[in-house]
Amino acid sequence: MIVTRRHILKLLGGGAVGTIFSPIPWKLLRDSSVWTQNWSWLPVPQRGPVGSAYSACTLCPSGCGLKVRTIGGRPVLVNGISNTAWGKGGLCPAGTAIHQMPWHPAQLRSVKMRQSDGRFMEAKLDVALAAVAAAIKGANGTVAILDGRPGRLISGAYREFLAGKGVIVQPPSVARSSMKVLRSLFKEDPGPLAIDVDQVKTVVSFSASVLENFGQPGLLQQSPKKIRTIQFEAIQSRTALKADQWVPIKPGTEREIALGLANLLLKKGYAANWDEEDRTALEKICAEWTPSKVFAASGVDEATLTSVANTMEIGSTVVVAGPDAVGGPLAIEAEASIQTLNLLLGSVGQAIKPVKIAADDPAFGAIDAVETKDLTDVPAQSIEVLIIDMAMAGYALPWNLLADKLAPKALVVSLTPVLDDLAQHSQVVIPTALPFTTVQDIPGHPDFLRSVRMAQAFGAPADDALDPVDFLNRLGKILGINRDVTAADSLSELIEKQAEVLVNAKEGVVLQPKKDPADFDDIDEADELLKRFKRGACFVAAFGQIDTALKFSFDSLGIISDETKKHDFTMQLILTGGVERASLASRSPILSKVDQESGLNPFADGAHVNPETIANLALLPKKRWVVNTPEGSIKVQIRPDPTVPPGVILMSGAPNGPKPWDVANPVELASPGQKSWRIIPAVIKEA
Amino acid sequence: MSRAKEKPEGAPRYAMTIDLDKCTGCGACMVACAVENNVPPAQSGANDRNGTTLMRVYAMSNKQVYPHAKQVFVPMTCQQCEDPPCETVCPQNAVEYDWTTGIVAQIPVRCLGCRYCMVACPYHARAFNWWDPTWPEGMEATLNPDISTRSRGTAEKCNFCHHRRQLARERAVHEDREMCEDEYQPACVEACPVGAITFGNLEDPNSAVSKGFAKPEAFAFVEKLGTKPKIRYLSSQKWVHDMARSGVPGKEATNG
Repeated sequence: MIVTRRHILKLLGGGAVGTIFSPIPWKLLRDSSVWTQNWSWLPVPQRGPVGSAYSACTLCPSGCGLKVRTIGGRPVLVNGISNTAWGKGGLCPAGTAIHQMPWHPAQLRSVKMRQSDGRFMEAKLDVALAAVAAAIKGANGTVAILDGRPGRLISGAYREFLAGKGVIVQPPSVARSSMKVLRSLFKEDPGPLAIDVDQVKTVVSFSASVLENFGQPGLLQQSPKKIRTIQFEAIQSRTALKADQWVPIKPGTEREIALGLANLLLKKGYAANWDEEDRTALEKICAEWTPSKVFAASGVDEATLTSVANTMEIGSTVVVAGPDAVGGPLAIEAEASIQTLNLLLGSVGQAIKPVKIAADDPAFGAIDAVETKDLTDVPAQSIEVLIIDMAMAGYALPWNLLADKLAPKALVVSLTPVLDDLAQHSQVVIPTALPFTTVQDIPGHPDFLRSVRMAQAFGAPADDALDPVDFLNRLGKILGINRDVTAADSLSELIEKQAEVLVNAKEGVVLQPKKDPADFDDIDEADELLKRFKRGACFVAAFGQIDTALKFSFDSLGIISDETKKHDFTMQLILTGGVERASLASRSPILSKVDQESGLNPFADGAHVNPETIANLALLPKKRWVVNTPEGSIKVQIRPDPTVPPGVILMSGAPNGPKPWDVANPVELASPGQKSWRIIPAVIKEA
Repeated sequence: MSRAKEKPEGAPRYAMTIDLDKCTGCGACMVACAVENNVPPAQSGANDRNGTTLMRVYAMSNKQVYPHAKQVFVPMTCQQCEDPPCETVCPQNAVEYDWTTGIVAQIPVRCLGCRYCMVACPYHARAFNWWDPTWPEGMEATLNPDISTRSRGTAEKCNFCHHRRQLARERAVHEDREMCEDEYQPACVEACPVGAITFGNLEDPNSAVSKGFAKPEAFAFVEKLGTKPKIRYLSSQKWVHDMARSGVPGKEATNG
């Protein structure tokens, strides 16, 4: 047979057709897909022995308990545990990713000092400490430490370090403000107070985010008993959406509603066992707030107000106005009116008794001699040396809140794991350990509940990261300051001391995962308590009972501090979620999935306005607009949002978005007596 | 061939219910899913359309105006259809219905990146890796070794954290016992702080998920398509059911 060109072509053609119907091309496709997915630059998860450990979240004062899955000692997953005083095992998105924090890209790796040209340069620790010591020695004004998370062991060390030499400054706290207002309703100091939520069946909330950020996430929802929630709120927040009953109100009318409810409760005889004088005083204040007058002021109709009052039962209803993550506190008269409802309902009947403390107690700090001030009470331009420790505060403090308090040429020192906004304004920056890279004590909320938990270390801190105890030791050595009570080489050593104090005091209980609570009959050695802390235990101080004979003072109900009506602004600006979300140090980069890749958080520059208002004011969404307030202005894009009340601008802070302090006076962040920060008079103009 | 004929006797059929009355839209499920499945942080320029997110929470509103406006948050993930349209269109068999679990499995190494599956999925529940997976330096140490990272150019979706089932089974075998159904829970179920997500075996009539499916407030999105999703949403609000009949939540339904 002669092989012709035709034969060759037939063979090639037939082969090509046959190949298509053979597995070869599919095999090639499959293999090529595999080959093209095996590149050297793709990360390969590391293997290792599987383990688990307990820890606690350091990102906010809730301090949720954590169970950590480890691979080769590295944390790869965290879940909440339900033994903590505030929690049922839920975690927020930030807590869910806390195990990634040791590798935060903004981690500070060296000491930095600002040069004369304003730039930061790396510096040696000794040089930085010498500069700080020299400033303290030469200070004519106040030397202060800003303690972002009071109640820690290091807080005690700070107090002892500064005793007689300076002041401890506490940043604003909405929770502390609320409790301050509550205490002001007593003629004599009732001691530590708490709102009793254990017996609660109904929660009446005034704009508080009780179904979102109230203590640990899911605290009310995961309760074994059904808790009814009633939300009075101007905007349709997530709590308003999920509450059993949302009562829309005119912005800024919380006081009127609370007094109207108090009026109805008084008529039901809820103050029958009160002192006659107290009852009469309250009746006099509330009498004018009839349901019809409340309706005129707030838009809450008579039937709704009466039905809410009827659901409020003594001993099983609490009324909350804060803590609120989204904005500042209410004005003092509104807060006081709301807390008065708690007095009527008997839900302030339980006080928390601190454990009896020894004179040398490093745990709860008997070092009270040192002056402690709220930041808002610090005189302007009075601080000459300021040491900032805001790493565990859980929120970002606006720099301009501090700037007013500093003397000209004041030295600002930041102890921080990341170069955050406050560090950017400092002259000396000392790196500290990121969460999960060092053992930490986790205090409870000092304004509500004294408790102790321990966070474990799962990664190594940066080489230059300094233990704050070591910082004080080194600085004290230069300045000749010795600490006795809190003398230790490290925070770990202080934690051991604290365990001894707690065991010796023998008061309170130890809550444990998957076990019954233990008392100190079972735990008689500090080592045993430390072991239990490492296994996820949480110490909670004993509860006490409030003295029912205490008398009340309702003076603050009559004060009207709201000055907003003086301004000629036609709209009301409500800010949500700006402060916490702005805190760089508490957010793993994986949170970008929520911030950037979902529609959950409104755009950074978005001002949400009701479509009717947009039409009435001809606010064309495509144009750029500026929101003006008495204290600042910000450029925004208008976004139609049917969930926003007419006449209201709703703005949500995002990590890189508008900050509340751009458009409001930050001094009002959490200082009762100031006008409310929740509602800011504003106007929209074309940019 | 119908699924029933392929299904071995006694094999579980995993399903999920998501209670929209409980979901607060916090996003913890999204973060937990990303952490568990080695999904990297969002790249610069990524958004809710092109980002790789296996579980995405949308806000869905009733289109009314304040104070009658209402919203629910809808965690949207692979609906684990009994008749998955993404499976039939895949030229690479990178999507397979696992008849031993009822899970629609995605096998990334087979994927060519044609994205037919993304077009076919009526729930927009699939994601495409437009970028190589990268983490901040050192953060690779926190990657979950039970699941590999996926390269740029592949599609992916929720597998009900199938690797967790493998682990639970291995543990049970090691301990010489049967695996309890509650030993296997996807990461989002564990992470939900309000307990809105329930997971379990649909073949067990006493499981919480079976009971959830039987509730009158249970519904599936666009049921008329006949894909038979194994995720049921629960809501007591009629408008949610009405909206679910006509479409799935997406960008047009969010705040943005």
